[in-house]
Amino acid sequence: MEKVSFSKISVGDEIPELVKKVTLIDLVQYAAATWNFFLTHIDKEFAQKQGFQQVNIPAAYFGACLTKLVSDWIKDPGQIKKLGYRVIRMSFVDDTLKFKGKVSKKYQEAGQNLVDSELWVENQDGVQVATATATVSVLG
Amino acid sequence: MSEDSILTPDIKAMLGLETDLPDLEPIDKTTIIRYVQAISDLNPLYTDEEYAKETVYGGIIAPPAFIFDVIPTATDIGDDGRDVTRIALPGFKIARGGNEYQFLEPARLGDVISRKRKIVDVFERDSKKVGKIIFIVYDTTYSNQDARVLGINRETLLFFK
Repeated sequence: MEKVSFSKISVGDEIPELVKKVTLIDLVQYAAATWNFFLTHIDKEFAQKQGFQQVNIPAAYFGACLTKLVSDWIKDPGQIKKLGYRVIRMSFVDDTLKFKGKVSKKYQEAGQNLVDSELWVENQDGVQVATATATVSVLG
Repeated sequence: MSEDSILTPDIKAMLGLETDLPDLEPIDKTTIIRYVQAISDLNPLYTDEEYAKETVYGGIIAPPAFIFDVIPTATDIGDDGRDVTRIALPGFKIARGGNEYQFLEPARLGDVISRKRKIVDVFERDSKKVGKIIFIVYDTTYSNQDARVLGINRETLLFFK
């Protein structure tokens, strides 16, 4: 696996996009793994009683996928240090989410090579549904 | 002139409140496998012992956000499936305002994670859509059995009528 090095990263670089169609199986598996069974994320009837068209994707799922987006990009032994994210619009089961990002800053601090990036998530209609920022450390 | 404040002294007094939350179950491979399948994360670092041994970690680790996402046991779940230890204000609607994860050290198989929650900010803002909104910001600090802090999750919750 090719290592990602600090010297080869430039501000404006695009992070390889991650595309994920979120199925009901994914959401049930996620609920089973996290033991978070809030029915709005797995039961259509419950979600509709709450006023939603369909079961909706939990915010933490975005955090998990954004972490993966960044980890896949920097690869071992790069490390994700921080991730801030905000879901700005509801997403629903069977939506196809595109996780994207761009490098916004690179700097050295306390002996570490750090890279900041701006991240965002679009749905199949090109509508932005979440925004995020991340800080990672990479090899020199 | 905006309407009256909904930020009562009782709610304001939650600022600084610290709570020890139930420990997570020991981290096991089955749960990690379900988690990575749910997000289609095929990184062998989380599932393949042979591969993980050769990395800087020397063994399988949990995905970075894993400890922030799992809740302790099925006994901590209410009728609607929600975690009963979450912060709630009776009579208010709730929305999530965002999260800031800090990843300090990876969690490993067998780790028993303890969690401490501290409310770090409570304030009120006006909004056009729903009127007054109360913001509650809290840090949950995750430590392993050796009392090493592995991560901190700062979450902002919005409460409105």
